[in-house]
Amino acid sequence: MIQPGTPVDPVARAAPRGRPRGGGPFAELRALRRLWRRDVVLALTLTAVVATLGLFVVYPLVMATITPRAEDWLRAVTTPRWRVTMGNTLMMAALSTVSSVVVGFLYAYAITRARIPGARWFTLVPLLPLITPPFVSGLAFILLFGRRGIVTYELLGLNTNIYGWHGLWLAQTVSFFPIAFLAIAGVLRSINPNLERASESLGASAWTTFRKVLLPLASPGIGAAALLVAIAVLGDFGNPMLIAGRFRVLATEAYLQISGWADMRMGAALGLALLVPAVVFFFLQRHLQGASVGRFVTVGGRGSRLEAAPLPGWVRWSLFAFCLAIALFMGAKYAVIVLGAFTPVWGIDYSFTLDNLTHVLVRTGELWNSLRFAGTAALACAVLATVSAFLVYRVKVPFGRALDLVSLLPAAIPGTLLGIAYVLAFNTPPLQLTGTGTIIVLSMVFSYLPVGYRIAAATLQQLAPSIEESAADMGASAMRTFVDVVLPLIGTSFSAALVYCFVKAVGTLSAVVFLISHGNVVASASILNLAEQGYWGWAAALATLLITAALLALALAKLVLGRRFAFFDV
Amino acid sequence: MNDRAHHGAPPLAPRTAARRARGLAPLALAVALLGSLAPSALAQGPLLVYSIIQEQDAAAITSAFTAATGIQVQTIRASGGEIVARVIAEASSPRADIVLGGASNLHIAMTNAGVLDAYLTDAAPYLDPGQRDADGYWSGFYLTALGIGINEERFRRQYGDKPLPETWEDLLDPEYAGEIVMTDPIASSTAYLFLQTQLQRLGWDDGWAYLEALAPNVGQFPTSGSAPPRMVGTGEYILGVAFVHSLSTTIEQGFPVTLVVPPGTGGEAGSVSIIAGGPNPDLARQFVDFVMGVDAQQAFTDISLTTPLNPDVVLPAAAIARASIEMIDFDPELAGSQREETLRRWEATLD
Repeated sequence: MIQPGTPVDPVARAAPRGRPRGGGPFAELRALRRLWRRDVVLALTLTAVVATLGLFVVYPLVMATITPRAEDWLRAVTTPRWRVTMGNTLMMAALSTVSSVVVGFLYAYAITRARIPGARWFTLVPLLPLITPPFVSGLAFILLFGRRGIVTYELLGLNTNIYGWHGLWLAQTVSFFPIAFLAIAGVLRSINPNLERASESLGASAWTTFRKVLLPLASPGIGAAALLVAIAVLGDFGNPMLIAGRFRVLATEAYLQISGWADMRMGAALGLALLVPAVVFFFLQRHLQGASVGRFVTVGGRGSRLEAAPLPGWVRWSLFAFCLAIALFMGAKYAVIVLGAFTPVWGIDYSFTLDNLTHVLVRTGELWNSLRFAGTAALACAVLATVSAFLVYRVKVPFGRALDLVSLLPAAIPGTLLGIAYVLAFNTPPLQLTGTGTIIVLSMVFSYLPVGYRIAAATLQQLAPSIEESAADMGASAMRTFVDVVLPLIGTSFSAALVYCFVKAVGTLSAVVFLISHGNVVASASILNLAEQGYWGWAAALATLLITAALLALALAKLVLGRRFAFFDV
Repeated sequence: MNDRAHHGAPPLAPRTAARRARGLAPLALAVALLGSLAPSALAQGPLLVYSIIQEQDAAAITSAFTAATGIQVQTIRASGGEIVARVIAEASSPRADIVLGGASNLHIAMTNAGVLDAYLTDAAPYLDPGQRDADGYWSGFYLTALGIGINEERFRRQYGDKPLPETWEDLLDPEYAGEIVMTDPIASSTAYLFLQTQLQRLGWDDGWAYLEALAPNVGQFPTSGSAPPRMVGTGEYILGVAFVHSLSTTIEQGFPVTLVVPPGTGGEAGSVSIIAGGPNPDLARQFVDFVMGVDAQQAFTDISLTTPLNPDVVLPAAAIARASIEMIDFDPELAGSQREETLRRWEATLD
């Protein structure tokens, strides 16, 4: 095994190593044949990954694609309302992506580089918006910032109206900066501070070092984050439903065609239309970053790391204030939810009661299902994400680009459509999975694979290929290299993918509504039910229990695994 | 206790034990009865229900059914559109027997998709023609009607001693500008009912004049049907148009809301239907008969405060009687055929 702390290699590399292999399909086929001859284990792994993605991503999408008829597609394109909606959708993708990535980067930078006080606690904050089902956090948001909101009306005396694109912008930034944070933090952590030290001892100012050394090194992470956030914004329907007011986006329209009019064909047409901008974004990011990716590599590892150079005090404290403001914002939202759990009428009567809690305590079975399914899914998702990212970005397997794209697609599909596609695809033998817990776990794995995969890919792009080359020179097979060399170096991104998938899966909603079956109900579905039926106190109580249980599960994982579970290490 | 644990049998919690004992007697009876009737029925059950009505309300009906027949029932609850989409998606291999509750337009959508079984029950001679499908694909058992929810606290603060609105026309008062909330008809089939109620009540041209006058008073058209009661409850808006039963729930939850059912309101029959090809077709028919009966509807009305269709049900004080809701003669066929035209014009009205 290679010792961590191998010398840093910031040399600009000419070879486009960071990208999957190009070339025509015939060249790829020839390469595939060579691969079978050269390394059977690797070829089998590739086959397994391709089969899994084909079965659980491509096949359901094909089933969804053949649902609409020609007239539905025609109506989707010709209805003026939906053309405006498409424009709105793209506008939000641009706005919310930029703001989420900026916030996510600053937050990650403050925690990993600026060493702000309490950094470890601040890593918990971005997890919160991921766990809570949107309906409950949406009501908390409205109670705080609505027309009669605690902050806007009671505290500031404002007569504001949050409903519209500006309110949506704020809500999406809050919802999606955690994705940017996760993607960027992993990369920032793996950049060896020695580089910045070297830059500064050569006479560069802190600002120049930041601009010329750190930013270029972090660019694969930033690019991956931007792509992920943009695609998640495309598929977001929870936030627009609650706070967009009269402003419409495509994902909500697709959701409403299904849930409001039970028009599956139209819903599928509108939902699938989101794949077009998603694929464009994919190639755009590739095109923009193609030049820089792979030019800068730096080996992760801890051995010879120096401390990052201390930042000027005012920078450090401004970053601290920034993180604190975000933490307070989140804190207020969750305080409102916890308040809702212990008061008789949320937003009206704030006297203390335990009634809500006793009502939902009978649902421990559902809580256990949530944790059980999410835990299984998280493990599977992190493994699959890491293995596929390794195959595509390091081994450079044939057809890597196609794999790359397919692993991204589920992020753009509104969950409702994904859930229906799963029902359509897996309702009959030989693959009859409806009615089982397995289909719930699978939907979780593939819904959250894109983020896990991108996090792993961004970190892998940081590793100098020379390490694996030396391993290969000493006779290690590709899989051996993966297990002994690569895996120890990307522990952070593996943990991040695991944690992300876990907390998202615990709060999962839109797809799972179609997949829960008698005996396999999860808590998030019940929270939606209770909220929708007007039992806000019970919904808040169940949400509080769910968040608490999920955080306890993570704490337990940290306790048992220690440093191998690298998520909370700063 | 120790002794038991020693032998490896887990001690039964007293409640579980009692429940088991209570559940066993009718179960044994039912098994004996069914066994004597038809051998095929013996292997069946539990009955699988998709519920659009609230969990507790569905439980009131299903537990009454289990008590009466000994047949076990398992229920999953989701919103109307989601249940309908799910039933249609699962048509290749149906996973449930019954769709319980939800306005008739949802059941019509499933009928048109060919995923329901026709069953003309004899148990509901009291149903009017509009309250059941002529071929028996769905049968109504309660009434869903539109009403107005008022946050009286905010109303008094803003308008002093002004009388509360009582008719649909009262909502046109320019003083209410921006203070009304109602669900977006484009987003929801049940909100579309409001447009059609006005168009059918006043006639096409006068109906549109009404809607065009109303539009500027509406501050927001949220997309979820549960939003208007909630927004009126928390005081985000003073007035809201929503279904009577969902406003009742908001009131029951303790929100300061007053409910008004204007004369000439629109409504549909909340219905039950049988999923074609479900695992227990015979039990499903038995269940539909049961839902039409007085026992099921009494239990349902007592807990949900909805308006039952079976005339023999004794109304609880807080529920609104069928006779006291003055409904227009609503034509669902006409509403269905005008959908595209109506929504296009509605959209143009808003812009």
